Amino acid sequence: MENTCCDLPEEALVEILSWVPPQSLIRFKCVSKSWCALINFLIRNPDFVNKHLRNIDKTIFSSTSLVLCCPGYGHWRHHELEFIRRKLFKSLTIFHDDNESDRINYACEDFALPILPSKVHISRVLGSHCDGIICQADHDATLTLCNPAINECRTLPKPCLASGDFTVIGVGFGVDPRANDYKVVRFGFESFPIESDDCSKTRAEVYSMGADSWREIGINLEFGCFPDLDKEIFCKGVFYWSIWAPTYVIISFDMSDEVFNCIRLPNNLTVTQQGRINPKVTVWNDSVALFICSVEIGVTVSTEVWGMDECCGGVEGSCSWIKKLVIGPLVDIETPLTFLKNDELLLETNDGGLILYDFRTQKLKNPIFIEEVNRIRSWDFSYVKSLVSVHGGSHSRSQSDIGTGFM
Amino acid sequence: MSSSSTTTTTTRLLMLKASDGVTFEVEEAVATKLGAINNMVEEEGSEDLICLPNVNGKFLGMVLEWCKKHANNNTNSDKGNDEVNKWWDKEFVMDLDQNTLYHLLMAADYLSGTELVDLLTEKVASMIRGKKVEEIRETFKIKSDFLPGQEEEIRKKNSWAFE
Repeated sequence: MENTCCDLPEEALVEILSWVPPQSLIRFKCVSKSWCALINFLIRNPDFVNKHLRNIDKTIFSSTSLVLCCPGYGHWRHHELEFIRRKLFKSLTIFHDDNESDRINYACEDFALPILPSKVHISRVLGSHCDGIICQADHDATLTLCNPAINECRTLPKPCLASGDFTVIGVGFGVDPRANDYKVVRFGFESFPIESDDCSKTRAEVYSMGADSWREIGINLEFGCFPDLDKEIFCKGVFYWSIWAPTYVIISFDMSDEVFNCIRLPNNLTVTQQGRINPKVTVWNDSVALFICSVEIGVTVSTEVWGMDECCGGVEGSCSWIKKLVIGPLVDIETPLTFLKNDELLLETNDGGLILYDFRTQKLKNPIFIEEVNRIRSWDFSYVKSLVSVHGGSHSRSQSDIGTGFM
Repeated sequence: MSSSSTTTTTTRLLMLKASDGVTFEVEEAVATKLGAINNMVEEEGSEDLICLPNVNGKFLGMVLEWCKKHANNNTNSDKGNDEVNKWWDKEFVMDLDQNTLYHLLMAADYLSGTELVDLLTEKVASMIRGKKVEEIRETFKIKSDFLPGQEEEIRKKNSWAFE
């Protein structure tokens, strides 16, 4: 007799479902009563949600997704129009199946993310991502957490530091691996004095999803001037921002210890002599790394990748860097975007295209030009579809249907 | 025969006997990729012949083929090898039909081949992800047992997942 996979014991079906994307999983509630009851149980079960999240990294049918916020010209002029708002966010998925080909196998789609209910223009809204949850924050006090893959979104309680005198510098959303809690860190200046020399009144606060509340924390950083902050990266429970104030440094924030630190750039950079450098923090091989590339226009230079030495990472003064890679020189490359797999790098070309560089083979794949993913972009990050609830593990989701057994 | 030579470089050979009497002679390092066999080997006084009454020869052979590949490549485990294993795994599950997947999964589960269970369940998931509800019922030969109106209600509540 022929057996189908539905004859498998329930434990095996659970294993199978732990590889299925969230939207398909929710849809499969309609297959039968027993599937509905099982899926309802699983998506509320923290162990299953974790297993599902871990499987995203383990998959052999692998792809990388980026989410991009692309306000474009239309949004500058007519940001109130609904069809322009709908096209604001894009997801770009790059498939790694097609290893031999010299073209990039990709899909670009509209990405259904609710826009932050804020008066601030979208180009000034900060975006941050961890485990499938996207945090959007404006420079006032509005913050949302959304998990588009399970259609959840909520506005966070009002922060403590919300007076008109407070100016936000940075916001980051990530997981505290020790407390197993998702947190938002938000820091900035209290009444930034433009005239005075004293501009060190930095303040910071942390939101904990478990406690569903904000609390102020200590911050020991001083800036010589108003800092220009690059997008943060999140690696092993620590945030890193590349910051210009008034020289380049990296600021880190440990989500578990809730301590800020200042990390100096490598002091033996070779590209610095050739012009202004543009350091960009990134993650490579699960460690913090740094892209160093020259920003001189019309000059072809190499991009260097420096890795942070793990044994002393994060502690002021004791952090060392090792030059890991030199990429190029590549012609017509504007800036490195992100590592995809560990041996592939996504770069932006001068004419607005995207290109993949495989540094194992040192070959470039043919560039792709995606009209919507243009230069008018306020942020981008890699994204995964998870079942992690924005309401926190201990909180109940919309459980109105749990009593009936299925739905 | 003495089995006290396990600490030397000589590889011990195990004899695995399937439910239909088919036997396989495999290196210990290969067979112990399976948690169940590893446990039996670690138990004191284990025989070199292990009977597996719940797996037939065809599927045991396939499971051992997977073990052999992964035991060999484990010796020098760098990233390149990891990639090679992934490609090999993909080929291994590529054209498996449901009946084979079912029996392989049952065998891998019985033998506690955790990584193989992962591979096989991911393969089944790849056959159903993104599919319509009707297609799932068709694939798995499931009949809807909802009362009239119940399915519509779930659809309405989760309409975003059906777009």
